[in-house]
Amino acid sequence: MQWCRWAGSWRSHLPGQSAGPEIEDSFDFLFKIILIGDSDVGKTCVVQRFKSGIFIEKQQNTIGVDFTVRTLDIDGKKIKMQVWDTAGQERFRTITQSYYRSAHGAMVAYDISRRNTFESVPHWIREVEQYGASSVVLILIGNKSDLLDQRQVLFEDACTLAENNGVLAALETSAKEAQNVDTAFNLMARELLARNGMPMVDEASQDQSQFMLNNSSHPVYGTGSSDKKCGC
Amino acid sequence: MMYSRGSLVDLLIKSNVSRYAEFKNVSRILTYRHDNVEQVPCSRADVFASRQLSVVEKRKLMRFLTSCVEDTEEQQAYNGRPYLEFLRDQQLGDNLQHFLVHSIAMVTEDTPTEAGLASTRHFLRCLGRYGNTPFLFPVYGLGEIPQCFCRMCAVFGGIYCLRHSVHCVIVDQESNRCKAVIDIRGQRISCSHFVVEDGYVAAERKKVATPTRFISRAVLITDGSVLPTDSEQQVSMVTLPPIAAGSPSVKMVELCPSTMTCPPGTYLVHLTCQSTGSAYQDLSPLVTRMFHTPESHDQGKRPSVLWCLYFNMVDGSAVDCHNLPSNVHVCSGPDGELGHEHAITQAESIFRKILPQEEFCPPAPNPEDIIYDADTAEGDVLSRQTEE
Repeated sequence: MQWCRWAGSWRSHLPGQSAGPEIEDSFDFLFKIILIGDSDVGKTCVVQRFKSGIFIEKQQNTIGVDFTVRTLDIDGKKIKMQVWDTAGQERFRTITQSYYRSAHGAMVAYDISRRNTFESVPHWIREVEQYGASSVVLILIGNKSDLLDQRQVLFEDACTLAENNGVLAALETSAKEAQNVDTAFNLMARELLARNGMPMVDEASQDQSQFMLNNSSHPVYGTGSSDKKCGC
Repeated sequence: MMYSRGSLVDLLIKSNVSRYAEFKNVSRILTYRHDNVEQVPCSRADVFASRQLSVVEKRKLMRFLTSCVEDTEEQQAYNGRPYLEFLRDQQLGDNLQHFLVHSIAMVTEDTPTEAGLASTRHFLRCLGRYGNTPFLFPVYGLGEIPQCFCRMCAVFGGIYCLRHSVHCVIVDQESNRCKAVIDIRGQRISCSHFVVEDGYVAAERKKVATPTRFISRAVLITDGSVLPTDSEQQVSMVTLPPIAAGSPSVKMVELCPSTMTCPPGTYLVHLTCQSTGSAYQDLSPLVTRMFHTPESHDQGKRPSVLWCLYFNMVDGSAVDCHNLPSNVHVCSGPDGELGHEHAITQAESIFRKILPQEEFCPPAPNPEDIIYDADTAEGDVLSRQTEE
């Protein structure tokens, strides 16, 4: 219920900025997923693989990628996955708190061929715990699983870490070879659906009167209640 | 706190930075009179629903609010004379005069009529854009706003390095330009421009033209609202007229937990005024009267203060010129005003000095309009940027 409301306000925010046919699509749920992890573990490539099924080898530091949206069909429900990239802000570990706000899920990424990126994972998990909502779903992804001969992180280690930190699942992915990327996002979507299909308790925070700015006005002249502010 | 119309909201919408933030309406405007907190009726709906106004007052107020939007000769006759005098001659009565001066125009009793009317009109223009009061509050607090601009900048390649403060600046004597800065870890960072907040500039670099003005502030955490209602989730703007002659008029904002600034069951309260003394001297008398504190003598039904902090800060609206290299740009800290007009004007003027040819905060492309293509991915994104 609450997600639908939020989605409603989101939709009303989009027209005028883009006239893509996808925008007109209705959807049942909208989830914000953030990607975090050290620089150069392939976060942007994972996002792109998920969005458009392509892989760009010579991706430099991320420029111009804000978030992408893809709608998944899970058990007949249309789930809009809004996937946010760090925009390179992780380079000096200077991701601002606002990145974590209102995220429903977080993909913590490391590079299986570089041990130090795996060692940073607890740091990123702590960041989510500190700045995100308490109910954020975490998935650990070891990217670049195509670089088998350069492996420095055992999958067993990743599983142990996931288990000890309340992470939903650990997966090894390859954005390059399209391995497990969709699986990871599907898993996330299913978990979020399962959690949010039920009445929610701890999201009192997400009350409905929040809204985003847009150019259209919502004059409130009548004496009626003010719960129409979201435009939903 | 932001006005729902004004340069900050315009800029957020124009640049698409607004996609990174969510807002709540300030749900009511309150004032404090005769030791009582009252709700100020400001929209048409409020006026009709109000129980503290008589039918005659309702009619007078509606007529006044409708008529003051237009500039009339009658109003001009009062130019230079106090707004209160103008209101008195409109036969509005004490109640309405108080609301209009302190809570709608938010001026003092001796503010000239033309300024009072201008503030009243601004208030009315902002009404009803997003809700029942002219104010918005960003969920998680105002600190989100700069972060949103940083996010947009980072998306297009800006680099951030937090928790490194600048230790010193290297200036080329011949050209009198700043060439680099050195951070506290001794790292040298070359730069062609350096923007710094007023507070970091040493006193001897400042031209002391005007005496520095200060703002007095208090931050409280309380266990209840100053005016409880059925809904616990009210965001209130409270205008507090001077409690005694010579004391400042104070603006107070009371935030509920759904603004994500305080835990459930508590309220976060900010009080701000122009300093006449220390923050404690300026604000604690008011706090003691409105809330239950250890200094309060009686046991009224007022909310208790769980935590409080008083402090003074420099009023950033009056930065003076600095004797600095030409490529060092100084921005001022926060000021005591409600909107953020000054900050936006200053940001734009610094931007113009650094990049006179570029548009200030152009609209960012919609993420869904950026199409990835294996061959031209990066170039495509960049060319879209330049197109914009």
